[in-house]
Amino acid sequence: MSNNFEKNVKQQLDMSLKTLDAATQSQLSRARYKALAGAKNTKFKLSHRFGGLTAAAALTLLVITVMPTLQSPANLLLETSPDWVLVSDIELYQDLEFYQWLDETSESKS
Amino acid sequence: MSVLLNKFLADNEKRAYRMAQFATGNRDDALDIVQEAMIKLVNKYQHLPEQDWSPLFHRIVQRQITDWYRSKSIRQKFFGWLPNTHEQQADTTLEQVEDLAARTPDIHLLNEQAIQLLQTVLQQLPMRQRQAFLLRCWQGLNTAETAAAMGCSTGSVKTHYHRALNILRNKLGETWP
Repeated sequence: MSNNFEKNVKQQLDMSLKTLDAATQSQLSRARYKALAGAKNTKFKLSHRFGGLTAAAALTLLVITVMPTLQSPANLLLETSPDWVLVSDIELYQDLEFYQWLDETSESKS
Repeated sequence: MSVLLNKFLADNEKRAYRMAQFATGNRDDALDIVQEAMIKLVNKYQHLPEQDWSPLFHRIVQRQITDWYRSKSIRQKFFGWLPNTHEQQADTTLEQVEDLAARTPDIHLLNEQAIQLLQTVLQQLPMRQRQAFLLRCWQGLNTAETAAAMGCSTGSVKTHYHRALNILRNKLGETWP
């Protein structure tokens, strides 16, 4: 008795799948494709995330290695000087500065 | 892998939709639930063996339905005084018009009222009873699998199932003896 009733209900429920309207079926298919495509996108995003991580690490490494050298005034001068300025010119300029300072200090002593 | 997963989802999506529709009574909410369940299965569990997909998918769908009930009760608590235009609109959309070409006259005659009546009675069942009944009777899960999908003990499943069966038999017994 109970088994027959359950069978009948199951049959009706199965039938309700066959009579599902076309718009709903189409939306379910779209949802499925979206879910499957989403998984591919997630993989893509994940690789991008790791790519970003690598880029950030490289940038940090660059900053760590370059920053200490940038702190000295001579290198700062090198950084701000135009390309045509030679290193020897800068050294000469530094020497001139030094001699000027030496003159000033010797004058003040005398 | 994605071909197998596509087939699995295609085989299960309609049934999951109907279960969600019986629970929510709303087409759009049911579609949202199924889509969310599909996304979760694909994103989190597609790497698992194929035989694990079915219990996981049912579990996710049931969780989504439970979450829907929770958010609905919260919405009603705070915004219950507002008129619910969403449900009224959903009932009148053109998309709800059934695809008559897919139906033969005998199916139409035999099932139209029966399905409507069954849907109404199923919607009136308490959530847990409906879940237990649909998973056991329709989906064909055994008691342990149903318990896993519902996140409760096997004893609870048996209780919910028999209560649901009694209610359905009382209300539909004359239609389907």
